[in-house]
Amino acid sequence: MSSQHEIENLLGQMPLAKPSANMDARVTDMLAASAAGPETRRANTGETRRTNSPETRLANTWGRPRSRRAWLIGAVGGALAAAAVVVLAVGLPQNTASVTPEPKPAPAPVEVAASAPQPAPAASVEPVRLEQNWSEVSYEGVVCPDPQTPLQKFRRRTVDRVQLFDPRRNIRMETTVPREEFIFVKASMQ
Amino acid sequence: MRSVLEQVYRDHRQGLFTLALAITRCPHRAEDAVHEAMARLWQSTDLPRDPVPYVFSAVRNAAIDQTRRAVTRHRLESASIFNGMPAASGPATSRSPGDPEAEAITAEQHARLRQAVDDLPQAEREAIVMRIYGGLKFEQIAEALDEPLPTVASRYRRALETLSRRVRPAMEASHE
Repeated sequence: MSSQHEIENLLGQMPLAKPSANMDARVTDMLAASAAGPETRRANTGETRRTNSPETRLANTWGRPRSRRAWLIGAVGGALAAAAVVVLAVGLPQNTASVTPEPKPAPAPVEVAASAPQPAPAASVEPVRLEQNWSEVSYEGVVCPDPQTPLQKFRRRTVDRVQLFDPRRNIRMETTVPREEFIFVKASMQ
Repeated sequence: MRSVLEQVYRDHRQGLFTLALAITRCPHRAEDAVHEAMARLWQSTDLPRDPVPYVFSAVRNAAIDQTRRAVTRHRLESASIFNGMPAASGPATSRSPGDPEAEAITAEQHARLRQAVDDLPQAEREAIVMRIYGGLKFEQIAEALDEPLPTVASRYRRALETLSRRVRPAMEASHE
């Protein structure tokens, strides 16, 4: 007898780890439910997919999603959506000509410096609607570029949501444009 | 469909479980893998003409999935596919049964063999398990693994040679 046959014989004699009766019950229960309707079948599959290993049981207890793949797809999808918004916000032309200025906090603005770039829109892309979603004005003290003319400094932050329509490709895009403005108001000398 | 799956499960439950255990190295995950595979197969529309390799392949895939999940959770185990020591009644040696020396040699052989099987590369261990404990033909193993028949046959032969080398000292002692 060759040594390989002896090894095969020896392997055949080795006592194997046995599956528990629980596995038989789970599998046979699942198969037995196939005689019932599809709803029962689906429910039974869900039930029998409650698995045995400790971490799976823990995951069920915590109500986590059972499929890591589904979670991963959701996360990747969210990241892609966020990246698309950033690309739109940075790459698309920003048209702020139709922005309605908010009431100024002080009566006599003497100088407005807008820090956000405002390039002219491309000819093929038309803004169809603009919504200003959020605005905040904060007072940042007095600056004195000239000792005779002290100025009060205000910072205004706005976030505009702009919808754009490209008639050539018949697509609608939406972009979020953050803007920041500094408003200097001449302070009255008492 | 149901009866076919039940029949395959009944005939091969030990082999399916052992294959899953050889991959996951955890009895709980092995049972989960067998169950998961059967659930998937049950939901599939039809089975091939020879369902046995298909079922083994499904269990193998489910076991690999289970292992990946365990790796991400750093919960790998190293359970053997064997259960303790074998009964001493088997004709493993040329000496008469009941002989304490023969029993000691047999125990030594099995201990070496168990360790050698556990140390095999996974692909070779799968081939051994499917062939010896699943009772599959080489054609069926090749189909289950989706690999060419000569590759599977040579892998099995290589695994036997490795096991033979590891167990040979104890076997030679038993023949003296």
